Amino acid sequence: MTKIIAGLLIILLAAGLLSGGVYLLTQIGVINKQFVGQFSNMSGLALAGIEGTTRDSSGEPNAFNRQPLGDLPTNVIQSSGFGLGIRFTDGWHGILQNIFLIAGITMAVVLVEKVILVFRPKNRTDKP
Amino acid sequence: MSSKVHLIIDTTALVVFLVVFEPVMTGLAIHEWLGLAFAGVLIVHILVHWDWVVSVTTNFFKRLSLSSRLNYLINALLFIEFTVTVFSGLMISEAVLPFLGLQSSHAPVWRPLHDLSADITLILVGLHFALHWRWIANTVWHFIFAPIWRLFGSHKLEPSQATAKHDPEPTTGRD
Repeated sequence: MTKIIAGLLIILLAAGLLSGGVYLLTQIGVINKQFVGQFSNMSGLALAGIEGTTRDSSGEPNAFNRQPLGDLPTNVIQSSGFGLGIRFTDGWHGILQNIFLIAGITMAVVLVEKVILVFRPKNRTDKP
Repeated sequence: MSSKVHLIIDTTALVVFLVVFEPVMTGLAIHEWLGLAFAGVLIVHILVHWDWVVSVTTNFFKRLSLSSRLNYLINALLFIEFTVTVFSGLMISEAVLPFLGLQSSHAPVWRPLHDLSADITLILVGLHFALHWRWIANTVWHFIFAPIWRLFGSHKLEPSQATAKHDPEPTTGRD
């Protein structure tokens, strides 16, 4: 039971740090709230406490996607983004999106590893 | 090769990778040329780990840890996906191929193939990063944060103490 509680606490702590950190960054203006909303929608994650929307007050899609930029054809923006048609027209947000994705995968793998270690029998060894 | 050189090469590869993956920021021409340059960085990255590649390849069906096998499979998939991404990107090139006097392909298969392989590559890079997380954290701490930490705390230490506090070079967590 202790191990289960410890595992849950690790997951809750990591989720809290992630959502709290992202929320703080949105509050001080480092990350745009709409970007966070777009990211959370894309990844299917519901990060607590984050106000995000993919639409502006008029109900129209926001300025992040589906607009041609510079010499890029429109379909480059529309067709990429994990098959969901999501790609930011602002390149910096796109780079942040990719960093978040890599960081998210890393955190997930590390958490799985930690949970496996918590549930691993103590007397087990890797020796043959 | 020292961990510091590994860290410099890997950081360069990651930064170039992130920039290459945002053609919206760089524009199409830089995206294409930088993508080709990244292929060069990737080859260097593979060559500096060539001993590991040979070792795991020869022992893959013999005694080998699960993590090494998983690492090897992800790296192999990453190599295939990146090759497909570069090749399909060249097929629809609007800057590199015309510059070389060659004609791009107008076949409809290349664009979706390029996008799909790029997206899979991004996820595989995330997994590759995650599997080396311990080495990355140790090395970044050793070469970046620890010197800064010592810089602010050094006035309290005698030189002999400072030498004794010097961390050994990280070697664990890297296959």
